[in-house]
Amino acid sequence: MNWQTKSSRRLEFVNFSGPFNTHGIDVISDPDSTKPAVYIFAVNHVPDPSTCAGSTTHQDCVWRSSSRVEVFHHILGSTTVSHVRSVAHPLISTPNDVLARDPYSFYVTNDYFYKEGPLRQLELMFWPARWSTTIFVEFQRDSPPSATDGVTAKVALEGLYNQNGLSRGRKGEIIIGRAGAGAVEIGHISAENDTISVVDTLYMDSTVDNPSYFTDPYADEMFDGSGYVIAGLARAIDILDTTTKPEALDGSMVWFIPTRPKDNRGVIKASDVTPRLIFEDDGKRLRFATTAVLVGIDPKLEGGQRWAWLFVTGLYSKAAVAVKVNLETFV
Amino acid sequence: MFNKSALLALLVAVLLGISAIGPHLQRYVRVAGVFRQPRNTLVPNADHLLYIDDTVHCEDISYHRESNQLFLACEDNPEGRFQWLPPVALFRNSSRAEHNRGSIHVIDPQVRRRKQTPSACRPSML
Repeated sequence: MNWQTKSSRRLEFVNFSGPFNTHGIDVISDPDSTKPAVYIFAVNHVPDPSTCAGSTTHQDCVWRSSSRVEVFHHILGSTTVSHVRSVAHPLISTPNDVLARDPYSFYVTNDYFYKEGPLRQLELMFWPARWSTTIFVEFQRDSPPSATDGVTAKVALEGLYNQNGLSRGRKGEIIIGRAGAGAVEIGHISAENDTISVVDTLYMDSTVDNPSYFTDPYADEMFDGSGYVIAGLARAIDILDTTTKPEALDGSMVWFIPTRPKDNRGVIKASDVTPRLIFEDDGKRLRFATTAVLVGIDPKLEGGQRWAWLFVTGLYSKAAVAVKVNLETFV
Repeated sequence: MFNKSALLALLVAVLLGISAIGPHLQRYVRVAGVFRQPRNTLVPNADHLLYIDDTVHCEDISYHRESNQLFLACEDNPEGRFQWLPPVALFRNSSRAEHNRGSIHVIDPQVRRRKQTPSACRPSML
């Protein structure tokens, strides 16, 4: 049977030998480069031998993680990505996602306070455990002797349960997915102190993970497909069992909240719009969706119709998928 | 020990407590998907669902609008996360993680190609 694939291009590392145990990622343009280029910020969970002092093998003692953020530089169209530096700080404890502010600063979520043990299990299940944080981090660019040199950090948002994914929303918005709560917080960043204040909350009927916002590049007076795109799990209750099983299936749900729905063309409060289920899967096509992103298709190529590619990927997905969706069905 | 008035007050307090937390419990159960049967979106047109090559266990995507490219952080190793994964507090064996080299991938949303495989067909819908 034929099925179509899209190709991905793997970038070759320069000045970076790993380990690289991946998680959240963010990309911003390099404003100073003479060639089109980007900075890439990526969470890295690094196994730390100092957590097993005196042990000689991984069987004697399982190393824990000293997680951090890696900063890379990539010339668009090239085949390589160059490591700029690692960024670590005591406040970067259980990093999940990262959102760059500029080439020298970023936000990072700590999704839990406790890293393991009974209190971590309690924190996983108990919504009143509002111990997660979003941290604002600034760092110096020069190659330092260690990941913590030249790094400062402070708490930007606290008092919420399970802050997880980070993204940009509409202009001036930062959006935070609170995974276990099935909620997405819409926040504004203070120009004075870089802290985040929540101005609205979106609720889904599933867990959420890394939200994104689709700005319709083909929006016009007649139609605007812009909106929030949110991936989550159909049965999060199962992860207590499935996270150790390569053969398990974790179903996925992808939600869409249009911010310019047809029945209200004015600027709206997103929480007044009912989320639409734009894609779901029982785990056979895509396991454990954590991120979904929409990319618009030129209507001239589609006979005037408003289609988009929905890219969905997951923590345990064997391959990311691209699904063609008709935005006119969901706006 | 307890007179009727005290018992009645206790009953009312319990019912009020249940009614107060009831909506929260309902939402908790719904978000966790306790009674949900996962479903599949029908995609009858085979051209409308594509698999992306070489994107194993990619947890996140960042869309760079200026260049119209997608960047993914991928684990590449389909087994490692079931042995060592700090985000889910899983610490069984750190040996693979010590040497794991995940990768960063770039996708051009407009590029596609057709691929034939000798393995079992994967249906585009259920």
